[in-house]
Formats: sequence, structure tokens, C-alpha cells
Amino acid sequence: MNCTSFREAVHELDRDDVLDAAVYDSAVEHAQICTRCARLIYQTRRLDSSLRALARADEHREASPRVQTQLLRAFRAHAPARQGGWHALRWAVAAAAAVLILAGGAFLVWRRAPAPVRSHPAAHAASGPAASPAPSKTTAMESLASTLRPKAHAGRSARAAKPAAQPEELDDLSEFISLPYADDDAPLGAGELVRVRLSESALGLLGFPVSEETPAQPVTADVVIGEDGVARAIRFVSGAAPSELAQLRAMTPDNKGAKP
Amino acid sequence: MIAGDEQAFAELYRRWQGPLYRFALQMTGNAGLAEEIVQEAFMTLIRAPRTYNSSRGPLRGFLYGVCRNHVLRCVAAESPYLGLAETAADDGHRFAELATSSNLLADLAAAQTVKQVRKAILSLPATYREAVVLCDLHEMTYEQAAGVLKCPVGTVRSRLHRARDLLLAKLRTLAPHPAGVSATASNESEGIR
Repeated sequence: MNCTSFREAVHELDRDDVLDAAVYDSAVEHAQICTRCARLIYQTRRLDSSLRALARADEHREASPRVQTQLLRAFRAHAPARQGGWHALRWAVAAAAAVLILAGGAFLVWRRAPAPVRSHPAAHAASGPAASPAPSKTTAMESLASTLRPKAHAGRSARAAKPAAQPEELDDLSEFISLPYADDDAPLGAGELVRVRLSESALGLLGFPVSEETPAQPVTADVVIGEDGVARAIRFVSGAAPSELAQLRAMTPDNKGAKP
Repeated sequence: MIAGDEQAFAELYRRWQGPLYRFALQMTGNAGLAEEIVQEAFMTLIRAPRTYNSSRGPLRGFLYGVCRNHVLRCVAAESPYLGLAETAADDGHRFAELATSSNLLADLAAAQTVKQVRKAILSLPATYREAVVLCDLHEMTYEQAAGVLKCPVGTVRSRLHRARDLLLAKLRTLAPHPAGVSATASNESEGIR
């Protein structure tokens, strides 16, 4: 160890667990052969001794009792505010919890409510230039969803939700007829309304009576398709004379939605 | 204490007011100012007890840190020498106490040493002063002092080293050295610098 490194270590020679044992030993060895560094150790130890004397001289010094009195008075003065703040916090937490519970309940109710039926793009295409705008169709589809749900309300809901679009076509023909195999209690979910052209023979496959004279005559109809892809109900729009449609309705196996 | 337990606060105050007061006194050299600083530090705890987070470190470090902030504000606002007369008078009072003891000369010398060391510490720049006060007078480890000063351990180490070099130099000029030491010390001071 040289004098420079000795000076870097000299203030830590008497400090516990700071210097490595090897560094300490070499510093002591250096001080034995270097007079200047030996004096430096002496001065440093005198400084340590002086600092300890100062620490001892101050060790019983404390703040006056007046400070404690004032602080305790201030503590008492702040106590109500501190407790008030705590109570306010508790109320805020309770209120937040109540809001969360209400929001959760509302969300569950919303989840169980029927989702609006989406309009199928094919419906617009099939209806041609005279097709009604999408919002009107959506309104009609929502009414259909309610028509298909509880049987007791079926007719009433359908009548209440007469669509504004295509009045000339849907005027008296806006009742949906449940398909024979459709499960009316199954949720419609995000179902679709699709306008199709069917031959009367196809209607026969669905369980409707078919005229033997004109089996290939096309019939335009709106078909409600549930979220599961199963057709639930049909509404005849055109392609059949009103009288024939009335006859068709009268002959359906389960004439749930038909008007009297 | 957070729940408003006055006994707990009183206990906390009794436990820490002494060290904090001495720290403030040794940093400012003014007993009145030191009391104000201690009071302000505990008022901080009264006003916002949740400012202390035990996960960030021990209570000692937190209290010393709060006290140090107040000290630095006061030191910046006032000269540390303002309190020296009061401190010197206080040390003079201690002279009288010490004079009644048996070893008069030794006690007088000790009291003189205390006075000189205090004066030398107060004349240090604040960054060096706090390193000496915390590590040498309050016997903190480098790590504990680093926690209070919010700086790396290496910084504490180098500041303390520099502070002690400065103290040695100041005490050589202030103190009458014993025979045989005086000449060598004055020569040595050149070497240390």
C-alpha cells in the first residue's frame, strides 16, 4: 500500500465491517514504515475521539417539554378530522360497492334480455329497389322477436309492431306464422330476417298445403332465422293472392301468429 | 397512532425526539431552531400520518429524512453561525458543571475540544456536515445514512471522507495541539490537501 491509497482508507480503519481485513493489515503495515501516514492515523484517531466527546456531550440533550405539550395539543386537535376522514372514506367505499352491485345487476338483466335481431344483407338484396331502409327492418324484426316469444302475446306484439316499410306488401300480411318444427321457447338471440322466394313445392316441405295445379309458382316470404340457424317463422309477402295466403294461413298446422 | 391513539403518539415522540433534536442541533447549532425543526417534523406526522410507508424503510430513516428536509430549509434561510453564540454560551455553562469535577484540566480540555469540534462541524458545507453528523455522531452505517440522505452508499462514503479531511484541517488551525504534535500536524495538513 502506498501513501495515496492509505489516505483513502485511513478514515475507515476504525469503522467496523467496512474495510477488508487484507486492506486493514496492509494499511497498518504501511503506517509502521511511513512516518507521515503514522501521524495521519494519530490525527484521525484524535478526530474520532473528539467526535465521540461531542456525541457524549449532546447525548442527553432533548427538546423542551413545551414542544411535547404543543404537539399533543395539535394531535388532539387533528384527531376528529382524522377520524372524520376515516369515516368519510368508509362511506365512500360503501357507496362505491353499492354502485358496483347495481351496475352488475343491471348488466345481468341486460344480458338476459333478448338481443336485437340483425338484418341480413341478403334481405336488402332480395327486396330490390323498393326495399325499406335498414332501421325500419330492424324495428320489424324486433317486433318479430317478441311475436315469437310468449305465445300469449304473439298476436298483440305483431300487431303493435307493424313495420313502416313496404306498407303495400306487408299491409295485411305482416303476421308471422311459426314453422311447424320451430321451438317457440328457444331464444331468438341475434337472429336474422331473410327475404326469400320459394316455390309452393318448397312450402310443402315445410308442412304447408300446396296447390297441385301450380306447384312451381314462386312465393316471396320473410323467414325469421334464429341465432342457431334454424328457421322459426315465415311471413308471406307476395307471389300469392291474398285469398290464397289466407287459405294457407288457415291451413297451417299451428296457426299461432295469424290474425283472426 | 394513525387511528388517533394519543398514547402511541406520545410514545413515538418520547422515543425519537431526542435523536432528532440532537441531529437538528448539530446541523444548525441553534437550540431554538432545533426545537422548531423537531416540532415541524412531528407535525408532518400528525397532519399526514400515512406519509410513512413501512415498506419503504424503517421509521428512523423516515423521521430523520423529514427532519433533514426542515433542517436544509432552515440552513438555506439562515446562517449556521447565528446559533453559535448560543451554543458557545451553552458549552460555557457546561464548563461550570465540569469544573466541579475532580479532573479539572482534563474536563476543561474536553469541553474545549467539544466546542471546537462543534464549531468545525458547523462550518462545513451542509452536504458534508450531514454525513459527519449521521455517520460519526449518530453512529449510522453507510446504508442507513444513504437511506436518510436519499443517495447511493458510495456518495455517503466519499462525502464522509471529504468531510473528515476538512475537519482535520480545520481542527489543526483551531485547536492548540499538544507538544510535539503541533509542528507535524501543520506540516501534515499540506499532505492531506
